[in-house]
Amino acid sequence: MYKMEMLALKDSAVHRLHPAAKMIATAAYVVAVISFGRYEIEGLIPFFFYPAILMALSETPYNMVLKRLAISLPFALFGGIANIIFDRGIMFHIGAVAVSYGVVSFVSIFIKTLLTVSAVLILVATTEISDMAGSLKRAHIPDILILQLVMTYRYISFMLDEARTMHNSYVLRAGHGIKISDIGAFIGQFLMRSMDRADRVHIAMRCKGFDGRYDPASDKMRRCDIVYILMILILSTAFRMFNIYDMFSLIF
Amino acid sequence: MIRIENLKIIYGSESVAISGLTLDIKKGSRTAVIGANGAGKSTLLLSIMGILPIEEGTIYVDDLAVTKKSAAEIRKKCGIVFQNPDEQLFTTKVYDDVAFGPKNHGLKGKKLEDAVMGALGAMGISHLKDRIPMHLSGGEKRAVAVASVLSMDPQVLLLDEPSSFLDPRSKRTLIKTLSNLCKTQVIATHDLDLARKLCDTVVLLKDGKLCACGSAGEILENERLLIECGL
Repeated sequence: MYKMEMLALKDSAVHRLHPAAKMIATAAYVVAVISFGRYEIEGLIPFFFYPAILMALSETPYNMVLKRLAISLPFALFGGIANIIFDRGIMFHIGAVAVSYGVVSFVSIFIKTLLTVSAVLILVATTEISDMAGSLKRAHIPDILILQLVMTYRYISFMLDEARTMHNSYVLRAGHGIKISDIGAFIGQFLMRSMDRADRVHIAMRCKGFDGRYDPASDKMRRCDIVYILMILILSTAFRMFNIYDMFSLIF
Repeated sequence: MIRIENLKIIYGSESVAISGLTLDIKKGSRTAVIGANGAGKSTLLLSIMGILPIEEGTIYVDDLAVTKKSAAEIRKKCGIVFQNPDEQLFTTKVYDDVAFGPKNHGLKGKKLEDAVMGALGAMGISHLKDRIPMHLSGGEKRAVAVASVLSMDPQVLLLDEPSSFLDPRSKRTLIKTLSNLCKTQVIATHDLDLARKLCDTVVLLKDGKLCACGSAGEILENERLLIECGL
């Protein structure tokens, strides 16, 4: 998280884009990717252009994104594995090997996860959360939702620290990992600490005159931001509507 | 500046945190509120801010009684720096955190920027304005927490254990900075060294009651009294 936050402070062509432009482009890209049918794999291939180009332009280290992608992949694997088991109809053969519909949909889920999660990770690595909050405010998103987003983001690492401290103090005294019988008490204690901390943060906010309104700063969009949005919209729509492989085979 | 008359604060349903406390804090003074753990130091600061309900008695800040109704006005007059800066710094950038208070009090544009930069400058941390609060050192976090209150330009600065989490160098810097601030300061602490170096008046609490009040030299040199009060 710390590394991602530090990346967001860098200066590159992608970092300089308006946060709203990056958020709209990411949303358009994600919608285009997930709108593909579960057996349409080849249509997804051109979408790799987006993370590849943005990572290069923003100088985001590939290994950092890949490491974080690895966290989300087990979910995709679990989601897709059921397809292999239940969807056994043969779709095509590669030589003597029969490929079932389930395998194709499994690969499709896997690629979609790769693309969408990497797009979001690149957004986080190139945009500060305070800038995103400013853009959401400008888009008339209710204060309560923006504040939830900002506070959750701000306190994820804090709560992880809290959990780590509790875990360390348990392990150091117990000499082993947390027993199943203690997990309930551990989670309960963690939640109580979280509530306590949330209460103290709220008091601090009230002492600074907070009354529920939240007003993060935001700049206006420039022409290059609009061009960027249009470019991503057009490319995503084109890749979604037309099969690039068929077009290439017609040309060549 | 702050007048406390026969104050009684109850935590939960029966635990008496402060009882029968009467106190007068002069304008421009630096007052240390000292006492053992659970003596009621933090409770006193929170009740001045109008956060804790007052069971009995009255607190006046600049002749304005602290009530639920007057809480917003009181919070313009008083600013509090909490013991743990992590609980005070909740936005994602130092600048935003320091701007949070004055913005809530209606400051905008150039005035807001001046208030923020002035507060950061007073704490000598202008260079941290674009940093993420979470990633700062303990001393830097403390300085940002103080700046986030100074930016609201309060008449009274309340500090809860300001020297906790600080190494000796950061503590020296903090003492120097606070001693240069021309504001009424109320400092809840059990750091007697800090109280000695910074404060002119000392209020000694024991079990929520006033044990002694006088000049810093007079109270802090009375070892027997301090031991009696659990210090």
